[in-house]
Amino acid sequence: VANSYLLFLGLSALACTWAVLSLWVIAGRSRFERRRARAARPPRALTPRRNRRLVRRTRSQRRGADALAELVRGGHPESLALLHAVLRSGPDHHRAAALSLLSEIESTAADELLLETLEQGSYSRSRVAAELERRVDRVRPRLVTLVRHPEPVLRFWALTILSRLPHRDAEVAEAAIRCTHDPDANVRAAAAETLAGSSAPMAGPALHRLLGDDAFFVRAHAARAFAEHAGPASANDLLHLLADRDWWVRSAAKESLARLGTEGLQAAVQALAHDDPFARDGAAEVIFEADGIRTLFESALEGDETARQALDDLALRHPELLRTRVDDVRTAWRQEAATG
Amino acid sequence: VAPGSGYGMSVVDVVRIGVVICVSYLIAVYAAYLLMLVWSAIEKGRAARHRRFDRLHHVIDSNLTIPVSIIAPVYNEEPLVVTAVRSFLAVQYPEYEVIVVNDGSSDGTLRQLIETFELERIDRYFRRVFETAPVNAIYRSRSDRRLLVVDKENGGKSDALNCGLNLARYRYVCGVDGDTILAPTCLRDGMRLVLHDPERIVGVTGHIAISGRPEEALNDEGRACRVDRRPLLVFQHLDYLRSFFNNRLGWTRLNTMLCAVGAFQVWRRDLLEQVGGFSTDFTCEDIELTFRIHERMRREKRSYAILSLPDTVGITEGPDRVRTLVAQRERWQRVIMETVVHYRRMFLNPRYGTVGLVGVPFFVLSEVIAPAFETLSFATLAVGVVLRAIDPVQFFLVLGSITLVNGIFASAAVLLEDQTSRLYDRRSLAWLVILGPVELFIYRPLLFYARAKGTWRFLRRDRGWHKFQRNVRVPSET
Repeated sequence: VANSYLLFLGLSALACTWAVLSLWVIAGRSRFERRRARAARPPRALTPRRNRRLVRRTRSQRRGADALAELVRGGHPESLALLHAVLRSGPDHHRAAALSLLSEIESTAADELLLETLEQGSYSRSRVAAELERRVDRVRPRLVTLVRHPEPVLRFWALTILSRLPHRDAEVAEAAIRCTHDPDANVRAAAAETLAGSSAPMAGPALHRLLGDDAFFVRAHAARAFAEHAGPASANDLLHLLADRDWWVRSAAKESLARLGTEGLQAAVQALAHDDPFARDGAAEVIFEADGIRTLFESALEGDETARQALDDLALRHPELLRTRVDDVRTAWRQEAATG
Repeated sequence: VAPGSGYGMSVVDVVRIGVVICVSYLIAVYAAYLLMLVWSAIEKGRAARHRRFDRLHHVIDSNLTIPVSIIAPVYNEEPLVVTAVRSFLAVQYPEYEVIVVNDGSSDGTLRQLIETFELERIDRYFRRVFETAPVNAIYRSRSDRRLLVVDKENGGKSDALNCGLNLARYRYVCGVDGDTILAPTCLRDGMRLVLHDPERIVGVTGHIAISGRPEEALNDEGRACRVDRRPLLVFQHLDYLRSFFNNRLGWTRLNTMLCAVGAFQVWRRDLLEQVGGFSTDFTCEDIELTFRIHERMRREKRSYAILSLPDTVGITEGPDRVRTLVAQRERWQRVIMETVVHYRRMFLNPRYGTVGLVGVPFFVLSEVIAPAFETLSFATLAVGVVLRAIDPVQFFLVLGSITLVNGIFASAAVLLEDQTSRLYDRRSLAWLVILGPVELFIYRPLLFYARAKGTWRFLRRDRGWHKFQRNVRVPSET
């Protein structure tokens, strides 16, 4: 089938290849360790000649990103122009590097370039937004302008980034309230998130309106946002969402009610008598979730008929779970009694 | 074949034809592997350049990071379940939940979870998007509110994963095995890619390391750092390395990822719901689901990508006994056969793009028909030796060549892995490259037996899981 001599030559070539690869594994590791030690040293100073060389090298597929990094970190005056060019038309991994390098520059020009990248969509908008989120205070005015952009995706991102502002002032709230009427459901959902932490008086009614939105995810976002915005006062408005036609909205309403404390618990107790079986189950879940059994017991012992009725309901439908929780309450009482 | 071996021409001819077929097959398989290795090396270089400058801590700090539900089905995982769940809870990621689904374990898995994580029973009304075996109870941890444990009747791994999907709250889900210890950075690395292109990237998988005792092979950061020195485990480790670094990265490059491994598979939940979740009709869920998603997306001409990370995202327990290894690999062969036969319409079908023209044929060549050619090779060899129809010098030269080709692929995989992660020390690396060529004589015959058995069981329509027994552990003195 084959000549032995040729086979022997092939075998030798394979043996050499295997030996080279294996040595590469071991030697490569040693080289890496040396390089790591060298990388800890401060970078070389940029001379005009090296600058020129590095600028030329930014066009290289393989070493372009390294050259760009050296130039930017070395403070090259044309850094932003180079990053701009790469972000507009560079290969994908160069753009990834450019974006990260841009995030290292704390200047208005860098902010502008990030916003421009977001607008143009020349790189993943979610990744750009993650960088803009870190400087949301500085880019706030530009984002407020962007909320009026004709493209819904930009309105969405502008609102999403604005929702990360620790203090959402009247201007931001006004922009978000306007977007609660937006034809795009994603934008309305983002507007709800932005309004959650706002103290603007008109935010409440706007969020309340979104609780009845056609899109299920807008209602879900609005439920959480309304609870955060209005606090315990939102409990009764969230109650009907326990019987919403969509599971996600019911889930959001349950989570929100469970976080509202006594008011949330009171609303859940009311919902135990709801016509809708989902709402009744959801209410029971809120009571268990919010550790409401002890409160109900204490109220029942004080003669509260509603609490007594709620416990009866729960005992009928969730006997095993209620028994466990009652045991927990008894243990807690005993411990409290023992410690005086 | 020795021409003048003195036997009738017909026998020599038969042996010769057998040799030609086997050598042709071998050359075709090695050519396919080489091609995939080249694609993998290109993809690894691209991923490394991409990652080198990415600010991973920005991803972790960002509120825009997409939350993930980790779903871990467990069945009789008593020895490892606590360590595994602790590793899930130690993952560095802004927002995620862990849903452990106890699939009717008959050992102390649930008891261990209840005691260690202070589980309390809760009533949770969840969407029943997928029908599953009945749920007995749902527990939540008092010590870590992110942990939810579901106790259900036994229904198989797919059923347990579907049950976890019903309870998952987040948009992305990460299916993991109950015996896998995750690296703390796994979600960060995986979701970083998703964050770059959330509309297109629907699935992510990554390399899983192998050890006989995963819980003992971790460094202070919770990442795999030691290679188990026992040859059977080293061979499996090399097998996994080759599979991930020589093949999966290439598949990523060609957008033809054919198997997002069950030990770490991140999926977009809405897509899982569209395709009907994890199928209980197949022996194993991971390959079939990946094929199904490809089939659906390509048929509907949707833009999508399923990626493999060039990182080690976790460490899992590999069988340290021959019998258990054979049982595991036999099952894998069966599921490959089931899946490829089920999706045979994709084979060489241009409608399915690179998946139909490259991926499925590669799978057929390297996995499905391999047992037939391996059997033919052994038969030809046996007949040739008995009839003295094979020239011993040429035979040993060919055998030496195959040994070295295997060694080259193993070393290439170790090289790609080490250049990415730098996890193992030099002694471990040396041990891996030395054992690379040896596996042909010890490990490959076992795989041949397992694959042949798997093919036979597939033909007999056996769908059993045949879970391998856990490795024996010395009880702790404390």
